[in-house]
Amino acid sequence: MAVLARMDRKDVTTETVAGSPDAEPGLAAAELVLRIRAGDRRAEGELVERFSRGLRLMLRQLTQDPSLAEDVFQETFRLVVEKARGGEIHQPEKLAGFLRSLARNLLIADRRKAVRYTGLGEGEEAVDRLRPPEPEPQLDRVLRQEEALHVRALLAELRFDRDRELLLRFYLSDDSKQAICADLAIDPERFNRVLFRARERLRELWERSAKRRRLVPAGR
Amino acid sequence: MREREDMDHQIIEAENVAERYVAGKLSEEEIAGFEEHYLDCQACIARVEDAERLHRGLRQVATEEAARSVIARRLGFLGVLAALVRSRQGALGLTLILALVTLPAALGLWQAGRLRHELAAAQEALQTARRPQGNTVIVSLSPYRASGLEPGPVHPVPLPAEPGWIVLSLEPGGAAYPAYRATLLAAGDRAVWQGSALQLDELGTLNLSLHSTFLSPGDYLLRLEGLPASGAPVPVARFPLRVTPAPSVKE
Repeated sequence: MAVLARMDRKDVTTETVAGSPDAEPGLAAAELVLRIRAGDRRAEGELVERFSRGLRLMLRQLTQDPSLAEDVFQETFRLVVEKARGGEIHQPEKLAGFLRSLARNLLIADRRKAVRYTGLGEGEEAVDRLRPPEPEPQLDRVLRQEEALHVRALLAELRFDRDRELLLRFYLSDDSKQAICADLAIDPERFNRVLFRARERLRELWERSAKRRRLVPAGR
Repeated sequence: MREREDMDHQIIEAENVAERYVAGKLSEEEIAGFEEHYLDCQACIARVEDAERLHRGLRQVATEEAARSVIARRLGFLGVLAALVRSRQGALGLTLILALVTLPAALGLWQAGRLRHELAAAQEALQTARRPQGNTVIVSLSPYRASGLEPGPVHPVPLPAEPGWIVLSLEPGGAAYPAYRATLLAAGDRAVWQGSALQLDELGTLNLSLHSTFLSPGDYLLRLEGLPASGAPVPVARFPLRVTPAPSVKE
């Protein structure tokens, strides 16, 4: 995809002022790295604040183990700050890419370590030596159930069956785009457009229902 | 600069990039490009969070639907049994059995008493099983990233406080097979259950239901193999499970 290929080739121009509303993200990040190198402790906090939401999200996508994600999150920032202080980040304008690679490498290293310590034999797994995930907190479970109820109600409200089926199959099945298009009589060239519209219709319902819920006082 | 970013976001939106990312439908190259972008883009983080929320909700709905259909099938079977017990033929059968067993007086009386007792117990169990069951344990199992055969985290399977069904909802992922075989191994690779001719539902999920009385606390490994039209079974995924005791009820 052209847009994604372009994203890591952002040109840093000298006309752009880092920190201004129009600043190129790469340049603003580069400025943070330079400030950390110069000993500015506030810049370290700004770096963590700037990237923590995205990094948490990425780690959540990569691992279903919250405690492992948190460990990798902490370690990534520790190393990034350490390297920035030591001037070891050679392309500071590509800080996001550096963070991403570092986090992924830490995760891979952790998995390799886990596999090494399980002592796998021929076709068997030492189940009891694998790290069990922490049980899901009750609040999270309740929120997840509420989310499901909400999604179920919204799906029922969707006017077109095709929207409902398309969303379910796109998100939950391994069916190829071609298979989905063939079954739902969608022109493959229009697939993205049709999916986008189905999503928009669901989003509209979602927003309307959120508005309704805000109007109803809690407890009623 | 701002214009170019707006343009990127229009494309990300129109090409459903965040949704495809969450659904695992981007190529490695696309994932790299998108992750590097959203790590420093609040708008795209919000997009991914929205997509994640919808994905989670849809998955939960699908899991609940699957569990409901399994339980409905079970209750349907129990309903047939109940009708048979209530029917004339059932009653006649029961009388005949009682008549046969009471021929030798002493032994017969004892056996009849035992049969009645068993019948009453069976009817009571039937009534219990027919009641709607809440707090059904549903365990959703997905293969660990990259390969279903890679050792993933252990999935906790809490036993319910009251005996009941436990639904395992498996997403094999990867290539689809005409049928699957699942084997549940206890400690020491002892196979405690095996089911074959399992088929994916329309959402690409395999649903297994086990009664809680069938499991005791401990570690298990659920091994899943694909059964191709011809040739040997193909290993598909391994799910380590840890069955934990039912929580004790506080007075």
